[in-house]
Amino acid sequence: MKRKILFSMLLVLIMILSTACSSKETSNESDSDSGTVKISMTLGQGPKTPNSWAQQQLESIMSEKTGKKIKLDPIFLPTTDQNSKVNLLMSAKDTMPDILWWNSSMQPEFNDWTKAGVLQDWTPLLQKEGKSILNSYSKDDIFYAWDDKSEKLYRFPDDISEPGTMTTVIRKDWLDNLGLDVPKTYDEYLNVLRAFTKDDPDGNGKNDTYGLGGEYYWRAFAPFFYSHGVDVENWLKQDDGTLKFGAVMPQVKDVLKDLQELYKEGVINPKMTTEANAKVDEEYANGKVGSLYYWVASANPNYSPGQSFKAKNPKGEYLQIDPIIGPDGFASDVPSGTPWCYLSITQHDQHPDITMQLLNEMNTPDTMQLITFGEEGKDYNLKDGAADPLISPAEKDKKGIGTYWYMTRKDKANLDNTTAVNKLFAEREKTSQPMRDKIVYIKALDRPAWDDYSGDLNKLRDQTFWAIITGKKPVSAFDDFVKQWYKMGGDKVEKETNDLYKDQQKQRDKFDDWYKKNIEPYK
Amino acid sequence: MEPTTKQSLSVPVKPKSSIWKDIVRDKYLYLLLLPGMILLIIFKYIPMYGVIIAFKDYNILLGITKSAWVGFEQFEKLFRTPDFLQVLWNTLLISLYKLVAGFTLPIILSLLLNEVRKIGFKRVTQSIIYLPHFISWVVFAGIITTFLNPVDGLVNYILQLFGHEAIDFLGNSHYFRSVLVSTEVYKTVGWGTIIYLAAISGVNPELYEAAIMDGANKFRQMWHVTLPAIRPVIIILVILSLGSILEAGFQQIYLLYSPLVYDVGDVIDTYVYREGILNANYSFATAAGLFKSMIALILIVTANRIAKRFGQSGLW
Amino acid sequence: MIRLTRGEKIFTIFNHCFLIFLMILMLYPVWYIFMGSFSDATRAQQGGFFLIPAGFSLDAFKAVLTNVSLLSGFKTTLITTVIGTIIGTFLSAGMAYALSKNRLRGQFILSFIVLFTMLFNGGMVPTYLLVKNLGLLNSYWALILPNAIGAWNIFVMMSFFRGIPRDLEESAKIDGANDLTVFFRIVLPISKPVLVTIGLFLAVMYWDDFFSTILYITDKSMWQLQAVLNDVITNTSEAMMKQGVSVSYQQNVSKFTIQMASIVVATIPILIVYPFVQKHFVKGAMIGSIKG
Repeated sequence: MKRKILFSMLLVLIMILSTACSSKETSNESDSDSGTVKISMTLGQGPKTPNSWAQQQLESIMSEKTGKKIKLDPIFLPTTDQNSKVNLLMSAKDTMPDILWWNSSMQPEFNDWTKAGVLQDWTPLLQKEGKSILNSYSKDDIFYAWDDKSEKLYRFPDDISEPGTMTTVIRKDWLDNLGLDVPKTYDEYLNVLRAFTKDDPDGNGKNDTYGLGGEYYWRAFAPFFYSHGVDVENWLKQDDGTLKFGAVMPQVKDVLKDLQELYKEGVINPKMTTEANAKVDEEYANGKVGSLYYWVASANPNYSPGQSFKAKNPKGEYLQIDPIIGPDGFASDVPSGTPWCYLSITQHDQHPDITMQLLNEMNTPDTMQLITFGEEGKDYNLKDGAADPLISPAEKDKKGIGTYWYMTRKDKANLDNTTAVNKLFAEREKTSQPMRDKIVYIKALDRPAWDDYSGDLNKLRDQTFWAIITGKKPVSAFDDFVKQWYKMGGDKVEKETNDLYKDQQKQRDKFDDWYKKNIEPYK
Repeated sequence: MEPTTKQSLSVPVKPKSSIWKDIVRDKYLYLLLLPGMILLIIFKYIPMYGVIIAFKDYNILLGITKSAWVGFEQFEKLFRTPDFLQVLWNTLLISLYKLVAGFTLPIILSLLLNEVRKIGFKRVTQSIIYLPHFISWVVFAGIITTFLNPVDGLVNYILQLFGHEAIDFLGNSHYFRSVLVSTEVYKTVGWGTIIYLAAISGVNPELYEAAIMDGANKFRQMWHVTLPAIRPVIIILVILSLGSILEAGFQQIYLLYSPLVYDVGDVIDTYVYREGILNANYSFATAAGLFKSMIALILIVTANRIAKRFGQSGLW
Repeated sequence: MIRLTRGEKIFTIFNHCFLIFLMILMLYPVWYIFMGSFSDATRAQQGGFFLIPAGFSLDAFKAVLTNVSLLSGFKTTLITTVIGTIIGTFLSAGMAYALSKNRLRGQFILSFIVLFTMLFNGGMVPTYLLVKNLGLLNSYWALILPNAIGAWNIFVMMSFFRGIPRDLEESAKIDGANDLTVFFRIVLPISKPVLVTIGLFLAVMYWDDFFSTILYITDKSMWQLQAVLNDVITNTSEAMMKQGVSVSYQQNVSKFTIQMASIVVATIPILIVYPFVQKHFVKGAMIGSIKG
């Protein structure tokens, strides 16, 4: 007994030592040997299948293009604690990936990387190998990625959302049942919501419907705030040319007053206040709410909550309507903000030219369609301009279709959307313009006052506004909120933001020159 | 310990050689200690230089040693926040509730289980009540919101059957902490019984026989035999759980709370998460962690002293 | 058989009823997951409370069981759980036994060193750099060694070892046995309940661990089972919405039924372990083995 255990302990010790040595060997072989070019990259979304069909396709396309043997080395990032993983990879030179994909919430870290000089400038690479990329990204897209001090591009927006991805949706069949018109103005909209709650729009004889539903975030109230020309989460241009945080603007008070009344009358689904796990898709599928601020893409026939909704409510129909017109005649949809993810090329990359060739290739319509949708006729058929899958999602995952989605296009090469939905996206680009003109995104990465106070200020906003909506505080609490907001550091934040905004306007001129010289001739 | 001290008092031996003698005498004990200690020192102590980033403005690429010193700035920031007292109070209250419920209920439950005579029934019960432990908070939180929501949740459905008005459990400051504590207990109570059942199985059956001879009924047996027998384990577990006095359960709260209940549900961890991690302020997060650890250490050492003063065996 | 008094009889009935009620209460979430996994994806999207599957479909299981990463995750987790549990249990037992002896020189300091690790840690980056410099990245040892020794386990074991009647060890010593022999021949065999308990805790910890993957693994075929599973569960449109992920990717989320089926597949193996542990919780196990 004793000998056995001692022996096994000894064995374990030997095993520890031996693997410690052997794994060192494996880490050494990562260097490229005999003409093979290895490109490592972090990937955070999509099916995370190693050595997939899509990877092989991409490798063979690239090998053909470059005449070298190309081997991709994908590093899949976990969905939770993604930023931690990126941080760890970046904390040592030899574990950095060649292409770093990172979430826009890592801008402070990006700031550190730039300062430490571990990223490469994209400009010369784009000029040489990035034609397709340059042609599919707009000047504005590049401005927010551009580093004004060094006049270099250390990051590039990876995925740019469509300019307007959300829309007000309303139950068309309920409107018909109640003999109501599609609401256009704010007052009409409120009346429809009330009727949806009280007049039994589904005709089941039960008082089980709600006018407004949606997720937990402020954008769910877009038809209310936006029709009043405010956004409680962004900095807005004022008439005098300065910036003010949307949450402290006086119009917010009117909206909160209306929301408080609607909540009291039972028009707003009470689930909306607490469901941190936004079960908005579930609500959409159930069809117990009359209106939501929801995805444009939900109009696609293969959208799964939509299919579920149809199964439960065969006669039901959601209609995507134009933005509600407010009391002052203002109307806007929510414009997409700054990019949600970026790509950087690190100093670990010994062959940035080939890397850029790869990225450019992934941006070309043919290659993009092949690796994000598969082969036409085999993996999907075209239907109304959208890909209608022939294989199951599990098979799709196994083939790695959708894994390599750097630099994806949002034009008609994107087969996710039907022609009709693409048209709707184009409309939403226009209808979101009024607010796009008002919102200012601060580009600067060094924002000490914002970093220090924004957490507390946003907590105060969320707490106060929800308390007002649910009737726990009177509407007048908004005035105290504004005072409190400035007292808690809001004054410093406002000043800092205005200074940065002025600086940003100057930067713009500098950027225009740079763009003319470095980008335009290479398109 | 005692014989050696007596010896060293009576016979003047060089203290050095007596230590050496003791070590040689216990060489096999040190040998048993060694492999585990090596692992602890390598994997826990070597990286511990990392805590100094609490006193630095940490830049991930400059590394820990090269980042600039800022002294207690991060701690000041933590204490200066307008809600700090509220957040600290919430943390203490929630974790104290959880601590009390989390150590009494498993003991009671294991005593009840111990009284079940049918082995089959006992085993099935044990196996089922420990199941919730395996459900991750992400999934469990989804189930909780489904059950507790004020519109079509099952709990409110039952309340309404009895003519009670629907309650928004997760959006109401009066109920939120109770929801946190009860869901935590629900998830961990079965799991918590395992250690006590292991302890109870070590009780000498002769003690029960003797107690029965003395005419003790079941309750008296529990009180006079079972509980004293598992008392050392209970004390150890209570002392150790003080180490997590400022851990109110980040994942659970993060998944269940909303602005409506920030006043009662915002705890140090959620606060630091919003503040530190979202702004990539690692130094701040580390400072908050260090603050929690210091409090925990003080509590554990004090509790251990108290236990020993009352003649119980503590941690050491 | 001893006769029960009337009070005891009532207590027994009440006790049984209470435990049955508790069982039903505790079983539901598991039942919910189980039924969810057999549901039809379209119907299950509507959410809510259910007792039977919402529509019946085995598609979710088909998808999960053909998932390559789940299978490789299974292998990784099985290996790390088995090796980790064995190493962890024995090394902790050794440490706990040594520390449970008050005569040991430096016992206080050594115990404190152990306790300290429970409260303070150096954080992610230093630990990562250490494991990297040891050359253990992407190896099983990175998943096993850093977690093998836990202060909590050691202190619990210490309290059990202190409860062992002293004369047992002493009589063995008189027979000429050294501490090592006493530990292996006498202490370990009679401490089965605590050994299997700590073993169970360690096994469950290793089985449930996914954070080590985030820290030390980049090779997808080395991901732990729970890391793969966690990715399936959190890969929801909600998580993506929070990150502001654009809509086209949100369509690739895993369906509710697949999430549930993955949980079922990944949890059942560890649940099977418990009955084997239970076997050792027989009353008087310790005394019994001493006599035998």
